Amino acid sequence: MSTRHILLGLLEAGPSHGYDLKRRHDERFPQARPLAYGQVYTTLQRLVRDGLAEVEGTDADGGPERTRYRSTEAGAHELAVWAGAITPPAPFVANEIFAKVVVSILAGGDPAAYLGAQRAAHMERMRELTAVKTAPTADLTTVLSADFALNHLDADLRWMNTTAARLTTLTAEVDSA
Amino acid sequence: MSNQGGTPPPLLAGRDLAKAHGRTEALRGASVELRAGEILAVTGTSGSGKSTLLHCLAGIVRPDAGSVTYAGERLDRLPEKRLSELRRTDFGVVFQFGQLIPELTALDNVALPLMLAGATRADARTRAGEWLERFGVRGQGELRPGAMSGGQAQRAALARALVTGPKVVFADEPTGALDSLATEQVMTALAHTVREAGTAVLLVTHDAQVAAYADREVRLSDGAVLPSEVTA
Repeated sequence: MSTRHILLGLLEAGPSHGYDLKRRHDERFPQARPLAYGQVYTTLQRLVRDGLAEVEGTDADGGPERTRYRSTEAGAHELAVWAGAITPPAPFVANEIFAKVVVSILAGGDPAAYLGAQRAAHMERMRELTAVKTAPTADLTTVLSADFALNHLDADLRWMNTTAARLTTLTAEVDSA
Repeated sequence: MSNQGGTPPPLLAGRDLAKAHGRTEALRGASVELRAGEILAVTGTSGSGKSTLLHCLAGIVRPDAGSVTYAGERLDRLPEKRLSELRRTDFGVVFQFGQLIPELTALDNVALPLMLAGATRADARTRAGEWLERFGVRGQGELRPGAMSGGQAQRAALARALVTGPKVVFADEPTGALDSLATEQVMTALAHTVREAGTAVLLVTHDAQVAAYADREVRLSDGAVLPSEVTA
């Protein structure tokens, strides 16, 4: 995830403080890890250094002074290039589930039992996400984010089902390698 | 729902069910319980016996061995007449395709089970309209199934399965022919409606995203239920 581009995107909606950017990020990406304040400020400083954002002014509102940032023309261009660029279709072969199955086969473990338990955990999470996205209060961002997670979990699950079915053959292949 | 302490007996239970189609053993000692008001997903690969299990539990086919108990009654031993009555009053069914009568409008399709149960046409159509509304397809009520999209037709089929207030709905791949957005609309409507009405659902599906609408899942493999892998 490119935090700098996401912050640039949020700044496109209008000038903002670091605190507001963090809050809006966490609202817009409810399933993502919340941004740390430190990361927000470091990223903003880098955006300014690179000419992609600039300081518009400061506000105090009776509290501590807060710096207000805005996107620059170069920032808008950078954002448009990033948003339109193809993301490499990642093969995800470095996935931990895959690694555990292979290691389990190598070490003479019980990959079928692991796959069964992992599958149940995936299903449980899919039930939770389905409840989140079908709740009457769910907004579009929540639905899109839950859909994204559900589809990836579903892909894992299909791989796990196929692997469980193939396990006998797979074990023989790994053992003879 | 009236769970007064302890675990209530299941509403519907199949025990050690066996069923062969010719030489093929579709079920080999499958046991499954459906509790009142729950959505239970039955999943498994093609040929694992999911649909045969649904047919046995719904009283559509009789098992070769084992028992099916519904609300204290042995379904597998009931005479055909009583079975048909139960299927009309207590059970609703939804399949993947073709359960709506093509010559009737969606509204009349949904009204039909009520009329068969003795309601007047006017009353049946009023109630049918309310059910189409719940499933978000009231506007399509005067269309025949052929003029509706797949998702709209399935929602009308669900309205028809639920209009008589069944205790159990049997749904066999109800979204099997739909794209992902139509699947979501059908499943969301189904889950909301049955939870509100306290209807139990036996949901046969090969799709994990559909199974995720259920409260729990049993998996079939080679005609038997796999041991559950509980993570909690």
